Amino acid sequence: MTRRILVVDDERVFATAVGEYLNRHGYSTVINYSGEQALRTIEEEPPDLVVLDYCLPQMDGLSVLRKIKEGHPKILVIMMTAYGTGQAEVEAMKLGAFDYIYKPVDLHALRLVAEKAVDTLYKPR
Amino acid sequence: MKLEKTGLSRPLANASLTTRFGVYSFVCIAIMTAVLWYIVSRNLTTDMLDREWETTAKFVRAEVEWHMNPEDFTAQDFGAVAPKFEQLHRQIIMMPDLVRIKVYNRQGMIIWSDEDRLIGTSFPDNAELQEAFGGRIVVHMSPIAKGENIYERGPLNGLVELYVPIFSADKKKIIGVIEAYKSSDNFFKDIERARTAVLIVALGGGLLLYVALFAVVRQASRKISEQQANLLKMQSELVASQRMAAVGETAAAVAHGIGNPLSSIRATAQLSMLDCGDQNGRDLAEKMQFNLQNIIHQVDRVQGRMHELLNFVKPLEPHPSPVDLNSLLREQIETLRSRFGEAGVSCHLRLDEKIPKVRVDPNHLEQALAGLLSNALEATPRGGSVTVGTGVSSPSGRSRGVNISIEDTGEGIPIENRARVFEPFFTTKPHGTGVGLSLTKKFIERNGGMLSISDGSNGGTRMEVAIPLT
Repeated sequence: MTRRILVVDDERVFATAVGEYLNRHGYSTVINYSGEQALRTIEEEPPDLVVLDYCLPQMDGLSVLRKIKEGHPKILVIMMTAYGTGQAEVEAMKLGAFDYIYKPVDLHALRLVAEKAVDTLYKPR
Repeated sequence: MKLEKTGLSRPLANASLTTRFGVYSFVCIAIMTAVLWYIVSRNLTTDMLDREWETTAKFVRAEVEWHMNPEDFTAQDFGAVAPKFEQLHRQIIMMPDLVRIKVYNRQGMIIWSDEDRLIGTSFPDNAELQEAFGGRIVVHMSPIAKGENIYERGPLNGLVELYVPIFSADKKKIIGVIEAYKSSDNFFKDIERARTAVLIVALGGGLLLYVALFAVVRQASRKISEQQANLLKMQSELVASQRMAAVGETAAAVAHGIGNPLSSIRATAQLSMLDCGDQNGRDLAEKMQFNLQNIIHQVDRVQGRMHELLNFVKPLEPHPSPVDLNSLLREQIETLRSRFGEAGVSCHLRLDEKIPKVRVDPNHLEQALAGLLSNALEATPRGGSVTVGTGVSSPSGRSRGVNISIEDTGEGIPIENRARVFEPFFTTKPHGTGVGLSLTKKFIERNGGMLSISDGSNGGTRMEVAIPLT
């Protein structure tokens, strides 16, 4: 079963590259450039996993994460932060993020985290 | 001519508050003491003298009243009244220090004296005698030069003349004057003793006042200096924290500004590397792979710098726990072992196994020690060595603590750079950020420790971390 991953980042080149990379590794990816757009996508066709940037225009990553977890608690979310202040990561984990990863993202590492996340979906919760 | 404000015209202008107060108050108190001594001793002398003369005069008058009649002073035949005067004389000289008397009649002629040669003579130019005829008791010091005292010179030096007017029974008329000579030696010795006592008291009081005031001013001056130093320290800390805040803002902006592009570069490059696997031309693929690998490497470097900068401005809240510094050092050296090997630098351990555990944040100390070890390694040329030691400082003293020393055999740090090596953004390395050592210092200080720099025993640099045992 092909797992669906939603990549949300306003950095278009990066988002595209991430989508492409995950695609090539057997995932079906959707790319969104804003939080609002992502929430609409989730409502229309919920993904298994969301790779979400912390820093987004208008609605920030944490707010998007909160909304996702309110409406679809089963969707897994991996947060991406530009630099580690400690606070953002703690907050994200408190809100129910699966994991976080620092930018610039090593796509290989991201794939491993994504795999780990997806693996949990096979196991009964 | 206009006077220049030179050092000579105002010698104390640049002196400290304590010195100025010391000099000015000394002069003032010295003047005050001298004036006080002068006034008190003068009054004392005058009082003592007045009382002395008055007592003597009263005594003389009482004796005259007892032994003599007013007619005795007007008798023409001096020989007839002589026995009575002799009787008077015997009584009067019973008074201490009284040595001689002369009895004058109203005409100023000596009608009796214990010096016979004077009887019948008169000295009209004796001003004191004339004054006594006016009704006042007259005292005259150092009278020896006077003509009437021709027989008192020599053995009777240091005499005081006391003229006591003798009144008639109705106290309206002066019938004669008795001049008594008093030896002043003992008396003036008493006065001198009193004056000396006053002088000692005045000097003692002045000195006490001076010492007390000086102590108060010195204490105040120290307090002021302390407060000034604190103020300066606070100001410099404020400036430093403002600078830090500015650096923090800049760093955050830089991180945000370059972080995203870096993400894109890296992701694209990684994707391209994936593409390389699909290319047919193997050489092209290899070349591309090499270049892309380079891009990734460069990006990681920029990322590393960025993190270093952000760590520097991040508030460091230590979470202390008991830490074995020897183990921590061994772990850090183990991590760097391959780098030591590549650089051809040996590492010697001189660890004191008896050092107690210290309460610090292990992560902070780890980063600080990693930084110091890495610096030492970079400073040491091939074939050189880095010596790492631990020990207990002042084992019995109050400031008991644990010391870590890291010594290299590099070129050392020039003295002019020593004060600056801990400043943020100061570096002598071509590719350094200048953050490392200042961050290390911050880590150590936040954990209550101190970082100091000195010459190594083999010409290199010795960095010493002192952590107190609380």
